[in-house]
Amino acid sequence: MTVDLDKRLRPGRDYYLALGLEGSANKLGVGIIRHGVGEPGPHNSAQVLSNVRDTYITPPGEGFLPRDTARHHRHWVVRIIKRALADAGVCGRDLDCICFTQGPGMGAPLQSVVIAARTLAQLWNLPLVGVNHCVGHIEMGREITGAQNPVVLYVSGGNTQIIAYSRQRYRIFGETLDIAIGNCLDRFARVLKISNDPAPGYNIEQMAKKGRHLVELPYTVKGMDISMSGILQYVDVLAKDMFSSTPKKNKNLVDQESGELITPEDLCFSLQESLYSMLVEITERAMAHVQSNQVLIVGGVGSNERLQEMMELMVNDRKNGSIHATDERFCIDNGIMIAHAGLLSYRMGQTKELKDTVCTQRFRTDEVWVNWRDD
Amino acid sequence: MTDRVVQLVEDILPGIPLQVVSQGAEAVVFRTGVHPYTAHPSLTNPNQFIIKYRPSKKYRHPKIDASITKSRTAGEVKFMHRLAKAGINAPNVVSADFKRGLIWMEHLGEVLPSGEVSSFKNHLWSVERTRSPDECVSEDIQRICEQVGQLIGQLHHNDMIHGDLTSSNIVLQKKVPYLIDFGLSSYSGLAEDKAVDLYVLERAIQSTHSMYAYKYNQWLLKGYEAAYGTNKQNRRKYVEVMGKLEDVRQRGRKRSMLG
Amino acid sequence: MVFEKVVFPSYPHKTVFISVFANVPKNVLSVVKTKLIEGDPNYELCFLNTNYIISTEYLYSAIYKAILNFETGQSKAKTLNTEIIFNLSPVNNIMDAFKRFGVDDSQDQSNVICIKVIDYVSDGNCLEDLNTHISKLLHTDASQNIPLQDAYLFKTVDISKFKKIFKLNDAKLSESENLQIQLTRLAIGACLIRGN
Repeated sequence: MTVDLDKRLRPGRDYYLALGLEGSANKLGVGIIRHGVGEPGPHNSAQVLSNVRDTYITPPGEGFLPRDTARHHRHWVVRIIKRALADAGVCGRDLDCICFTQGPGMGAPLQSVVIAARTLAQLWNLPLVGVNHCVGHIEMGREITGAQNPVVLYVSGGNTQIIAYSRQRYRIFGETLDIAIGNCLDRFARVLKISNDPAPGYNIEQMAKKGRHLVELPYTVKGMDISMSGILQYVDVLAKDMFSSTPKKNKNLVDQESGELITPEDLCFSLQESLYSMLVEITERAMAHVQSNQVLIVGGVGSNERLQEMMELMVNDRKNGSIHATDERFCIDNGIMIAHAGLLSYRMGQTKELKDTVCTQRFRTDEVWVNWRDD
Repeated sequence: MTDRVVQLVEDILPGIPLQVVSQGAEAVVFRTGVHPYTAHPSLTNPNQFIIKYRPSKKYRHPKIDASITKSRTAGEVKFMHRLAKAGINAPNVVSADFKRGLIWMEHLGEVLPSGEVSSFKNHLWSVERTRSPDECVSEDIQRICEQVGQLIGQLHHNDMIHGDLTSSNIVLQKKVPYLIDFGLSSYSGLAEDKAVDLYVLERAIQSTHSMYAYKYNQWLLKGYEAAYGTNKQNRRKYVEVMGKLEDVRQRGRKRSMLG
Repeated sequence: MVFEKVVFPSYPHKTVFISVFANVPKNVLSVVKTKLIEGDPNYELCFLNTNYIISTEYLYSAIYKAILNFETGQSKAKTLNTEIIFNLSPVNNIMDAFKRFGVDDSQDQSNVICIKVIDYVSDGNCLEDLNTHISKLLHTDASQNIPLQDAYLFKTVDISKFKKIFKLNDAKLSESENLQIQLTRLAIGACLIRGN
């Protein structure tokens, strides 16, 4: 690497410290990271000093609304920051910069967290670094798993993207043409009246384990893009017949081979099989396209065991293939990933003036100049 | 390619000698000297054939796997038949086995002095390697580029979309271009879809032939325009595609969407 | 006595026997048709008329596809003989295929192609016997056993009818290329995508 990451080292120190604030959805996270001087790598890995999170939990059957989520974040942010500082054993003046999620995400929660970031920056006279949420996931995933140049599958409530690095950008090779995977799972759960506690996706996964019959659902892959709204529409119709008080004979609700009735468990099973096949397929396509044999799965849906298993089966069929996934500390939205990615850009001189710290709901992964990489 | 895929194809085609030509995510392409049912096929090259194989994917549920393999293989053969009917240069289908994901087709292209197959890409590359800069944009190159553009124009005129246009998915046979690989093909009359098809090629040319990309792309579009002819209605369609192409260039292939 | 013996590379254990009889009279053909319907074991063969058989390559293609379908559980017909007829047709309907490609006793006389796929035979004697057997079924003073030849087949096909049933009226045909070859290619494609 020919990139010089040490132009901003404080005199008399051989490390950097950054605090990251994340609040683009229903998780409020604060983390503090430490980078040693010099090129990052296996011999010089980042140190997580603290990683605190609080999730805004809604009653069953309800989603989280922007206004209430923002209120939750405002209510908790000071306490979470204090705890993060205490856990790390550092004080504000020790930090090099304050990093915050600039987007993408829900407007109101993003804005409530950036106010905290601005306040801290002025309080301690520190520069601000705006971080793209997706890039945060990718950089943290690379750091934790040691995957050098993976194809990244980013799957969460609001995102479904296949990303690969090329010439200092994380380029989006494939993505959803309509709704995000997490969104699809949530809406499916609502249609089938599946509980939101602890998370709809988790409950679908548990029910799918009991499913036995496969219902063929629409399978829409267009090159490296996918579409999921067709599945929802299809399931909507099935669910109506399934829960109708005057059951109509729907041949799609009977398994062709055994003649048995299709259960909600079967539908969960079928949904997972179809959706995750589509995801694995476009990931494989992207891998072939960029000639990579590493996959990194990030985002909340990345913790699904069936998805990981299918991905592994795909990767095993490729020469020298390897799969990398992080655990829930880093898979689910957190502050440390914002601190980590933010610190990388800080070290490359990417800081923001106060007037440029406006958050944005739309912020594409490929808009970020990844100048800390030069491969 | 893993041993599993080799084993799979050997089980399906016992005793047929196969040479791997390329491996994509979805399919493996082989070359063979064996025609499935006649020793004297009426093809440009009667001694070499291509077998495209979509292996089953272990990660997919067997039912999903079977239905995808079948529908995609059948879809590709159907697309190629439509091309043949429309008189658009592409390989002829020899035979197919939808259930097992096999398409047996005509082998197009010659071997270049470099030992590579005469794809549009390799042809341009060998020209770029061996000729002076002036000669790289000479008349014969212009003619081939225009022919390629015309071929894509014909395709779009029939409301057919290739889906993966690159300089390696165009093969030259006696200096005449043919389209190959219809794994991502679709049908659409929308100017938007045609523009994206062209944009993908334009970007591919820029990244693989950056030195002369400007000229090449200019000639490609000239040929593309020629395919639409002078008929007023067709002209309007052409102008619409060009308008969309400008839009697509501005925003990139993907639309901006909520994160 | 003339007949063809074909072995496909993918099916070395199968031998395809093909023989052609020209000008078989109507009354003989009617008998064949009846016997086929009755399921007479002497008539366990694939009988075709040549009205739409554009070339040998097209014929081979259908036989190959029929064997492949039978071997891989993809066949639609009950017997290999009918599967061959079905695979000659661009229409996804067995009765329709019979009408167009099966024995034609609507005219005074008609050409007949007989096909039988048998397990591998090394000597030709058994095929000779088979052809003798068929000759007895079809041979009259008027009809004759002729070789399977492209030029002959092409001559017997009514091109405009052929284009109609293969939906090739809108096909762009090249003036400079041989018409039989072009129609062969298109017919093979049309049959492959039948029903899809």
